Amino acid sequence: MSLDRTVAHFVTHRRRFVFLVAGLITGLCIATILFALRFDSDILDLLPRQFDSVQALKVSDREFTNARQLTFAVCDTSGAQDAFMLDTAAEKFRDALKQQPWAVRVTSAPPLDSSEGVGDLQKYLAVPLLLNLDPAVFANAIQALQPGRIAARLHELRQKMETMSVAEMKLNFDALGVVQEALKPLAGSFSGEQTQSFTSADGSLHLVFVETNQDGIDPHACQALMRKVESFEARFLAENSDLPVKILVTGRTAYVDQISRAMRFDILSTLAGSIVLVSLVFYFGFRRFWPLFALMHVLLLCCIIAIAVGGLIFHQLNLITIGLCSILVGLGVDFGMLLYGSYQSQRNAGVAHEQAIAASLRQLGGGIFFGAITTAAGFSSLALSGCAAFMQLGVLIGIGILFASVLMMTVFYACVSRNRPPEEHDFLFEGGKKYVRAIFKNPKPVLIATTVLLVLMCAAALAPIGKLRLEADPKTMEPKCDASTALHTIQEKFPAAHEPLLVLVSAKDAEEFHGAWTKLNERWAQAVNSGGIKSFRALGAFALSPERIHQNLKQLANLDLSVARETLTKTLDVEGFNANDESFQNSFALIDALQNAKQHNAQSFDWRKILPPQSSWWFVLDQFFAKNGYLGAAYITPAEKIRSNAAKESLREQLTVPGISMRITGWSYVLADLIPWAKHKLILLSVVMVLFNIVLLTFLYRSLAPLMILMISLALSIGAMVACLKFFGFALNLFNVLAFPLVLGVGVDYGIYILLALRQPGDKEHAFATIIKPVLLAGLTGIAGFGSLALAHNPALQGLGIVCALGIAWCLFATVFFILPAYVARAQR
Amino acid sequence: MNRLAVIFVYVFCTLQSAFCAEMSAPERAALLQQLRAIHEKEPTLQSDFVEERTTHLLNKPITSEGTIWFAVPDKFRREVRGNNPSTTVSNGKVLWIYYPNFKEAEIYTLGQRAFFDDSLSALTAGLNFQHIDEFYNFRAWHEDGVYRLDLTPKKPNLRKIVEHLVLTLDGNFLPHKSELLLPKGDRLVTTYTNPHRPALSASTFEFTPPGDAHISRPLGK
Repeated sequence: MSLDRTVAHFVTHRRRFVFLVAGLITGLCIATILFALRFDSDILDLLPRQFDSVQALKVSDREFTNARQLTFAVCDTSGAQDAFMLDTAAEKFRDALKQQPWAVRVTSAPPLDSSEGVGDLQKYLAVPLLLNLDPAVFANAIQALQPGRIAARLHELRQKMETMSVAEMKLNFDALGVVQEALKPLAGSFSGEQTQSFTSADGSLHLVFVETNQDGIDPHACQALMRKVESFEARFLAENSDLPVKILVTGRTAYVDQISRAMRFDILSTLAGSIVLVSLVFYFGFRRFWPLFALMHVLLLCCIIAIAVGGLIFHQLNLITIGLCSILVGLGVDFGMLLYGSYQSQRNAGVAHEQAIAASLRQLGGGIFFGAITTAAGFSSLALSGCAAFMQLGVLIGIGILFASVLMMTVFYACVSRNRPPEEHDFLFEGGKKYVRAIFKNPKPVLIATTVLLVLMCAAALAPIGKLRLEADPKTMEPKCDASTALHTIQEKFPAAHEPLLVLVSAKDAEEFHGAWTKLNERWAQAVNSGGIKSFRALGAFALSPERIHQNLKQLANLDLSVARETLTKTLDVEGFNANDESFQNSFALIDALQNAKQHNAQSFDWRKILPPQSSWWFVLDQFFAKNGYLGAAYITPAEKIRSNAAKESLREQLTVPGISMRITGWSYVLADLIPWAKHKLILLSVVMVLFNIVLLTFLYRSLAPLMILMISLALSIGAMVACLKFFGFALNLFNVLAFPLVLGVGVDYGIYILLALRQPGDKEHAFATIIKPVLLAGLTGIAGFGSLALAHNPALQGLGIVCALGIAWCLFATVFFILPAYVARAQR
Repeated sequence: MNRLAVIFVYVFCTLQSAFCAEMSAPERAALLQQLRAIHEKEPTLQSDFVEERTTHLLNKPITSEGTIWFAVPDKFRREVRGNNPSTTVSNGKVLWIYYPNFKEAEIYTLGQRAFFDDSLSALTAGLNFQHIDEFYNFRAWHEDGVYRLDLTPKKPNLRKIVEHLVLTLDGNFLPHKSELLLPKGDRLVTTYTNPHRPALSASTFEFTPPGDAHISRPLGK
């Protein structure tokens, strides 16, 4: 017995067994999904892994960007530029935040703009910075603590207060004149004019930062925290309804919360969109509910299997893979419609159920098998992209398509009712039949018209008419959400918040770390002076050198700090200063901290251990130092925007110091890697797909002419697709260029079905008339499946769906109006 | 302390406004036009002053007196007399402060440090009205030939330096008194006497330190 008859017999007489096996597989897959699969919402996983710049970006994201930090923006909605109101609102908001059990520390001003920050500098940070000075500089700095120097300085500043001068500023900040010495290395670390302020220049926005105590950083923990944050925001705005402000929030937690929820929405909306559109197309074609119901169940099973297998292979799936279900529904339904169309025509011809199944399998089984292979190959080619997310998407759809082809030829038939479908007037079939008859009568007019149209479209694609836009910035792939809107608003108001280049520096130990930063500071200061870079920010002065500290502690042992304290007390009294003022109390605290350091207690000068958790300095230091180990970061603003690989390499040369372990990254730097990558992958994947199609079709056709017709049709379709992208102003981005190989893989299928119909024994006109309707419906469902991705929030997925839908639409058009007439014309000749 | 000072100023302003007629928006615009017209016609000013400074750093307020010369838009000379004399001179590009007691001259380049420029513009606010509506939200009262202007900063950077400013002008728009409420509850009250608009030579706003003076740049180049 032949395979088609064996399968037909089995699915007709062993339906319960088929359903039992399908049920078992479903149960196993659901268990796998529940226990072995996690979702990854990290936007960085969309980028190809092979680049060091991408890896460094991930390291930076993991080690530096404080995963538990939220940035709030208090925005003035009145438009009155009322700095007093905005400051009041920001202070109220900050104070209210401090009361929240989930807030560890909060700040609404740069450390040096707040009295607490200045106090923390003098009490906790000045001593480590002082001890980290070059021993000669340190010896000079502590001279300021000699009794005579203290009295003279305070007397002079008191006198100068009577005129307009910086004397008050000096007294407020550093009454003893010691802290300024400690900060000198930092002044060298911040080149250019880099004034930091938490209020935008136009006075419409005030930033407030908070470090939270959320348990984990997974989506569930982020969602739980953000519900508390939203509730707090609503309470604050209700209690302060007199303040014309709104609150924006951003940060990793906000992103993960919103993206993970958007992922859920995207899965449901794209799947629902796909199911509705595909169902409409199916009903339009067949006017049957039960087979549609059966088809959807089989497709659902395919999706579950694909996700479960993907979970076993990859363990976690990225946000791009959520497009899997809608694409799979759109493509997998093709097989079902083709088979059911064929089955229905057999039944209409009076053939019994089992024999009709066998006949449809015989007619289309091969085509479906090869079609599934080309489509699966098209998607699997994404594995060559080097991008984890697209690799996952491609492999999962490839697996799903192969399963769909098998399950449609088995489980689907088991679901189809044995009752003979009632005969109705099938206008689609009749319309197709009339079209085929017209083509057989004279194929040339349609062939010539279509050829002219497609050639013109290709010419438009190549000609300098309009412009095919390329969105090169990978950040355009960032899902649209409130957190991203907030971030962009902040970046707009604070140009300094635009991410500069990031340099990560690592070392084995503290001494090497200190030495690396010293050399880099010198090197980059030279680069600034020579115009190689515009500016840099680094806090190398906080990289403590055990050797220097050891030497400076020896010098400090010779200084009597109790005398310094006593002199300060007396002088303040003599000059009429308010000794209880915070500024002078900070000076006493500094002397006490130095006294404590003299005990040679390592804990007393390691800022990581002595800085209080509530200190606003953590918000600064966390940007520059990783939590663990000797890993630091610096921020570089290049002299010019990086526009090419050569510029990138030139900059690398300027920044690099031999012997220091450093990595350079940042979005613009990554971009210099990604643009050539995208172009290379577009060519590579398209060539691979074309070669695969040629090999497969050569094996299938065993004739050059039909192969040529199909390949010309594909080329013209791609050209027309590009022309449409230009006309509609739709931008290609780094990822939807990957749609090209997919269109090649999917679009070729319709031509295969047409060719197989041509090879059917008997009346060719009837064979084409039978196949034209299912091909048309299959194309429309493919378009619907990809088109439903336009509903997604995720721009990468959205772009991929739109480009593929457009490409498949042109492939379908070319199949019906170019390939079919071309085959007929050739056959007639 | 800070909050108390703010409350004090607001209570003071409220009580004042109860007895004075507050100017409407068109009247305020007309007032600014008049001030600008006078500045165009007579761009210079000279006045003696007495300044009382209350600061959180000192137990008692400091009082100083001297003379100020001003030319629109940003030139001034300010000489403080007494035990701690000083001379401050700005030609709009460079500012000198000379302390004879210390034989020390400080030089500041203007236009390079926003906070320093903002401080200067705050301190000369009573003399220069050119950009007053750009930098401040202001209300004004006119009663018995005296104008009182109540200013709150629009720009956040300026608010770090000045929280509130009250200016009193006589009927000829010459300064009578300025009261600055500064952060941390500090206050600066300047009373002007004998203000007039003489012709001033350019050399008034130039300064050459004595040969034996030590010159420093506290804010760098």
